[in-house]
Amino acid sequence: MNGFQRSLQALCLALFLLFLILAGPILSGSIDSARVFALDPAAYLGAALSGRVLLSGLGVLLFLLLLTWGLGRFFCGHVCPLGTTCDAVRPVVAGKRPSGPAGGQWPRVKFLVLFFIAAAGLLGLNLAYWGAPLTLAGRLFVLVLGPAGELALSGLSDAGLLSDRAASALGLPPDRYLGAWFFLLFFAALLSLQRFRPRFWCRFICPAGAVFALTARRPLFRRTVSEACTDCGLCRRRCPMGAIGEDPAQTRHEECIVCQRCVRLCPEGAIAFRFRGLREGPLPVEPFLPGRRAAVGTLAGAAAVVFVGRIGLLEAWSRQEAGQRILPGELLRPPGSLPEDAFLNRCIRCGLCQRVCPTDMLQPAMGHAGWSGFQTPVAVPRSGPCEPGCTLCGQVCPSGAIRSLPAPEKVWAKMGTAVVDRRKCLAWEWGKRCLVCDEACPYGAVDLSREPGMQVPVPHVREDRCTGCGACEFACPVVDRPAIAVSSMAEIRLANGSYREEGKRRGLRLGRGEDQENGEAPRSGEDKRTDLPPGFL
Amino acid sequence: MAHSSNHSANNGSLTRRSFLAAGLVGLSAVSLHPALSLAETSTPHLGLARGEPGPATVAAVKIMGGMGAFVREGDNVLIKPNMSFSSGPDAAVNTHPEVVEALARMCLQSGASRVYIMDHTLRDPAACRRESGIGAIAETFSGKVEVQTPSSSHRFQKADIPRSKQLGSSDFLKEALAADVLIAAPVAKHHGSTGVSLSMKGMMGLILDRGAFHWKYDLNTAIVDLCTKLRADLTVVDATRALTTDGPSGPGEVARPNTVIASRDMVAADAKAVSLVQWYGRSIAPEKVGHIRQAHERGFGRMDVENLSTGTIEA
Repeated sequence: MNGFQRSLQALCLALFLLFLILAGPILSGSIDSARVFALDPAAYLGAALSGRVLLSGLGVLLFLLLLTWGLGRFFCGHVCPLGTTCDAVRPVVAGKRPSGPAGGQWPRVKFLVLFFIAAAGLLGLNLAYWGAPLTLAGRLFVLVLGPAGELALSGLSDAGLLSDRAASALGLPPDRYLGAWFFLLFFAALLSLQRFRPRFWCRFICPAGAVFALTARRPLFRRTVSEACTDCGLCRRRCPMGAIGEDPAQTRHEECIVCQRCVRLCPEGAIAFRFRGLREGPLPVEPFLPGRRAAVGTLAGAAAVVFVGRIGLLEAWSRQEAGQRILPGELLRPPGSLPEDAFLNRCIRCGLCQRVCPTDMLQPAMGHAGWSGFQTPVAVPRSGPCEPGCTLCGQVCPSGAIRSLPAPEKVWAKMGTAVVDRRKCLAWEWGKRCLVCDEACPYGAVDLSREPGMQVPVPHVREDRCTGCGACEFACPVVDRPAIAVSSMAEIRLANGSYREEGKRRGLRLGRGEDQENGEAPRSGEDKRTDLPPGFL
Repeated sequence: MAHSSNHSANNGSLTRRSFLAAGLVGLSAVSLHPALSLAETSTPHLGLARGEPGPATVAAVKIMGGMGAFVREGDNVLIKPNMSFSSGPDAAVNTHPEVVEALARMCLQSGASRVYIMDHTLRDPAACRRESGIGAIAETFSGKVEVQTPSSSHRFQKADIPRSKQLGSSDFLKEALAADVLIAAPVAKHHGSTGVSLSMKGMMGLILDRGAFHWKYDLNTAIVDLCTKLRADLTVVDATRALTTDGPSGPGEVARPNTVIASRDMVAADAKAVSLVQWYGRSIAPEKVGHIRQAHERGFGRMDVENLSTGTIEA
């Protein structure tokens, strides 16, 4: 076994998991998640091209590419959490099946995937999340394995084997996410493909692997084979990446992930990884890039996908506001999200905001945000409200799709406005003494007042105080469709500038406590019937 | 009777002079008679202490005979404060942490083996523990005091409520059912549905399903039903600050009566708090609070505070 490689893989995977687990209140701010996800060139490229911006973390990415130029695709073989997961799962899905031959034209597919992502990005559509390995790993661990692990732990907790403190530190009660079935099937397929070849994803599909391959065509630290080679072919048959040619002395360096398994396998001790000059040794002969025809076809395909997207696939387009997609009114975004188009381009779908959201309000969109918003975070008040003091989603967002705002400013990043459905309301329609929405509202935006002809105080929304946090909708005891719900009406989405100033300009009074610069505390409407304040009989 | 009592007949409003006078007498009485607590029958129905949250709490409990009259060696004590909101003490939506800390300290001094400070919060439990300042109390004491805000259903246990009119049964926090001593420690605040939220309304923080109270039952009746099961041995109302409008979550107007009220009678303590505070800028009689009046009518306690013996003290 390759002790060094496996140990480094385990360490890097553990660090990645630790990063995801602790990313919430514990690590907030102390680790720049932009630097973590800048290790994924595909994710970076997709967001930077489609968003037309240089994202932070560029230095990390360039440094990694420089290292790859020197050391080959070591990242894939040692650091990448998705690659490590592939290695860990391979014995389960493939047993002891041999690695099989290199795979003909298949290794070229990943370059087509990369071209596709880059072309779509240039045309203004970010599709990198379908292939970017770090973001895929983020979603795998956050959306599928995280809840599963927490569910198992909650069994322990229910059996009384965990203290309350330990349980809450471990993230209980368990998170639940929309569309977990989709991710389960997607990742089951991705990992099961290894039945045909080990690291099927990394060899044939991964667009980040393609970037590294382009950089590692002839790395300084590379595989060399001495005269002692007897041409037995063992190394070629066992190479997990199919990186060894018909002549075992030939290496496709762009495929090699420097696991050095061949070094240990070689019965003659003929193989070594050494630093060599750029021009030393045999030059690569085989072409590795897809042919021109395939590349052009791919670019045309990307253009077609973007084009079809633009003429409307799943969402209607507004005639009133040219170029605006019509989205469901209940589509709410995390507070501080960029304007929708910029948000869609920027979001790399890493799942981190959903991971850290303490109330599970943030969920991955399935169909909710149109097809170009697939897997972006949506805020679902029925799942949980947006806590006034919490700013974690913006803090951890690696791409700036959600702006990082201090808590007093976040309150002004209005997500929408609550609306009372009087036909369902316990107070309005059923004459019940319910004030749950008023009680739940952290901003004093729900008032109870007595109305002529009403037996009990009834709720009203003060729109200028409502930040759309959804606390009322979450708490509403009416089953199925709640009697008070947040719609995206009057949401504030700013690419830059102060939410507070924008809110004040619109006449909002969203602050809390000392921030509430409106002179008087809010006062629920007094009793118009008995002249008593709300609640007294 | 060694202890000072004033039968305040002036609608519950206490002038500064009467406070001072009563306080002086009360102070001397307490200091001269350390064995006071033994005589339960000699303690007044209500104890009022004015001052800073911590000292006023100690003084108010002392009027009721001291914590030793409630907590015995080895007891498990459950303190139920308001800590349902992620706001600091100035917002007056949660009990002041110094009130809760003083209660916990007195319980330990009286020999309690364990003190649980618990509330089933409305907001994010961790944020409530942190922002209210109550969560930090556990660290002050070495392991014997726990601050918990459980919400998962396995922490609750179904129990019948034999004397209920509507509620029948509910899922109670297991610690609440098992506690030897139950102390209600609410903050004084307005409530849009029930007028005020004090010790009786606060018991809804020890059960799992509160929605049914709003849509299934008459809220005020269900609160009294609940209190027949969760009858506090000692009620300590934190009226050092009072949220007088827009309760229970605020933000609203905050008054500073600087008073702590103690009683064995939840209804009397709540009624006293109602008459002590100006709600929406005016005096409102306790009988205007549905659950207080119902509790009084059902013989659960007394809301006629003007007829009850009251000890006052300046802490």
